[in-house]
Amino acid sequence: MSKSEKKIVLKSLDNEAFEVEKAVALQSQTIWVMCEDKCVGNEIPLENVTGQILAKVIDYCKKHAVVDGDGDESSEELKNWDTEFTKNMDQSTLFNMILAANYLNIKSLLNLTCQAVADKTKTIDEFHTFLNIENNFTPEEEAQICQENLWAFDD
Amino acid sequence: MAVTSETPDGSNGGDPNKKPEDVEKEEEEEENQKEKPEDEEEEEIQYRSISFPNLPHDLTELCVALLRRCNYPSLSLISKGFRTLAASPRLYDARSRLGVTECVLYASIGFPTSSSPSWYILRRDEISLRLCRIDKLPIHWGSAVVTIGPTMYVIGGRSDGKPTSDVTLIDCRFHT
Repeated sequence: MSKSEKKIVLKSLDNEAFEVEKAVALQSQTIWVMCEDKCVGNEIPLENVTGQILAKVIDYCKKHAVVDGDGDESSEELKNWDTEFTKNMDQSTLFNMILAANYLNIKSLLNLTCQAVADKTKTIDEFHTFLNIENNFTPEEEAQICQENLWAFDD
Repeated sequence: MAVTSETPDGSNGGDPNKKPEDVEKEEEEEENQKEKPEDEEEEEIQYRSISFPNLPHDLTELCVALLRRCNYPSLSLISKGFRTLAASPRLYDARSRLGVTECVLYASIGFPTSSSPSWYILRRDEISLRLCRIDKLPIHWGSAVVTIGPTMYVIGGRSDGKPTSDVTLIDCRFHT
């Protein structure tokens, strides 16, 4: 296989081009199907993903790709890397990553990013601040639910 | 007296008022579901409208399913929509598909000085194990408890000194 065949160009919504190893890009089932069907050339336009998000997705795929026997990283190390990867993402980045992972059909990334949202939202305050959702309960309703769930809030 | 039972993905509660008649009714409702009446479609639309800002419903459901069960009471306090979501059987289905359902230990504990025993659940977090009382679940002195899958049947017992033939069903899956 010549060198050019092993590379693939991904083009973001805002026309940013990323040249990556094919093995890296093929972790996306969506891209895999496109390549398998030979319906695209060496350049794949991804109309739902911005360059900023695509760069992060590619970082993730590079870390998780097994390229020429280069995938000997221990699972523990990978797990730590994953945790660091999502740790400082803000809500909007995280949600865009979820949308991108879903569109590109990368299961492990989708799970990782959804789990990150779950981990960042545990208390009621975290839900309200992180997700920016308005509370539409009346104070009485809220008090009643708290009363019913007293066991959960008693610490 | 202490009765303990462990149920798959129990949470923190059950419906104290659910009597056996309701069980029959639910079965009937299940049969009707196949026909999908109009109001159910409306319910479906309403259910699918519950989502985080800028995230479609399916992906919201996925995020919520990955939350630990003990965070559901907080989830149900976000808004009315999320209260519906937290108590929805569909969310339980999603958790089952992901294989993230949790086991919860329920214990009925009573002291001779109290008028009736109470249900407690064992709450596990990173630091400690703790028994938390849930007042809204029914139990009498001497009740028999049978678990079938995620439901508990609380049968008979003594209420205010008199024997009772009450049977109550606690579904441990769908509660906040």
